[in-house]
Amino acid sequence: MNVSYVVPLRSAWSRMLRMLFRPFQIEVWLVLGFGAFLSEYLSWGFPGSRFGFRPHHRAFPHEALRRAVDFLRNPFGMMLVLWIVVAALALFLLCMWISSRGKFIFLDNVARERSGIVEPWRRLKRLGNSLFRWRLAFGIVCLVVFGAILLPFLASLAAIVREETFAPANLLVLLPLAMMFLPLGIVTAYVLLFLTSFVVPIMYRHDLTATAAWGRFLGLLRQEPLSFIFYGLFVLVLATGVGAAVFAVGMGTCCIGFILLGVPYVGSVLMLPLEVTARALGPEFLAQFGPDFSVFAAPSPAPPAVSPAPPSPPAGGDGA
Amino acid sequence: MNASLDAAAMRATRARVAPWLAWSLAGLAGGLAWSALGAWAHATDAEPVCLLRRVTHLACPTCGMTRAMALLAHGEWRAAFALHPWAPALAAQIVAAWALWGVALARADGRRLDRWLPHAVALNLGVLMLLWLVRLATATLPPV
Repeated sequence: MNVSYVVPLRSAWSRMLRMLFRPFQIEVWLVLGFGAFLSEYLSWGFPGSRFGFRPHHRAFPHEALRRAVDFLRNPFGMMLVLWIVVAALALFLLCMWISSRGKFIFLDNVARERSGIVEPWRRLKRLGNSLFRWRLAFGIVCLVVFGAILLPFLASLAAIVREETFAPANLLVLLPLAMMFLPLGIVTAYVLLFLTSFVVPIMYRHDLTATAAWGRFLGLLRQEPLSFIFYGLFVLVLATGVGAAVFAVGMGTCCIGFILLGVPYVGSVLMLPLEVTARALGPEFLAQFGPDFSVFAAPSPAPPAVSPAPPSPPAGGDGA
Repeated sequence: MNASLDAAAMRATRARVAPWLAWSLAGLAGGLAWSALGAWAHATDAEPVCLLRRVTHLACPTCGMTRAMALLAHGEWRAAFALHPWAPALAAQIVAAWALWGVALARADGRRLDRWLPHAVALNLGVLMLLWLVRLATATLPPV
């Protein structure tokens, strides 16, 4: 089968132009931006972690470790840490649950070339919950697998942290660890890419659970493995180019661009042309494998049974 | 029947008032920001946040814009123009956009001013880049 990478990109770009600029309407941007925020921004777990901002620690790791142990010996410190861990976990799960539904809302908006949050939020509940359960299970599996690999190295890593200085002998510990993490990291990245780009559209197209949609996708993957592996590389090249362009814009605006992109929701609205193109790219690529895999103009899952709402104008929206 | 009529009337009132409220709040926020900038006009000894400037010792296309706006808010037109020639034009555009928004709301003829937004953004970005290249070539970028 002759699979193209440029044609889906061109179609996704044209779709974005039609949705966002022909004509430009601020409310469409605001509503779609909220959909993108739910779908993409919250996918990163905690708001603010998107661009990898991390506080600077001036203390040496071993000193910080000693202070942390001292703090934990205090019962109040222990309680506080436990409370923070539980709250952070709950927030993480909440973000994952919302973003699972958000992924379908944003896909629904892009597939139908319209903007809406409230109606799709209700309609796509079952699909969102199924995706949430799958992501949660996958996250736990990843945690167990990565943890099992890391466990035998923990003592050696702790010794490296205590030493303060880096010795060449440390590479004997770090290299095998990296060699084991690298292939697993690549496989995990591919699973997450396939999930968002192809499995979510298949779920949406056929009203399937995440597991059933994976079954369908894996059948396709077995037929055309190279096409999908190259899709991953194609996305990597695109992401590198886009990342470089965003970095240049941030640098060229006295870092105001970086600050705006880091602000929740505002960043999603500003990045909307890229977000819409990226959201449409996977389904456009998948549509090459037959109408059975095309989400565009497909009946959406579980349409309202009685008196459906009048069709919204192409540039309208039901608001957030 | 009466309850549904009341609800419809309330929705209509809200739809009429909300855009005016947004316009007023935008004006208020702009006015406050302008006053704050004016008060900050000569307190410019802070470390630059511009990454390009810190790394390459080269001002970026918007370097000096905040300081120029502050000087403009303080009434120092010439100094503002010298620091960033596009600052007065940008300030004028913001004021004009806000005023036109108000006029469009008063007329209530459904004219969509937001359609011009992508053109305005593209124009400003183009001018900023062009200006930066010219100032780079003529060594008139703001001091680093």
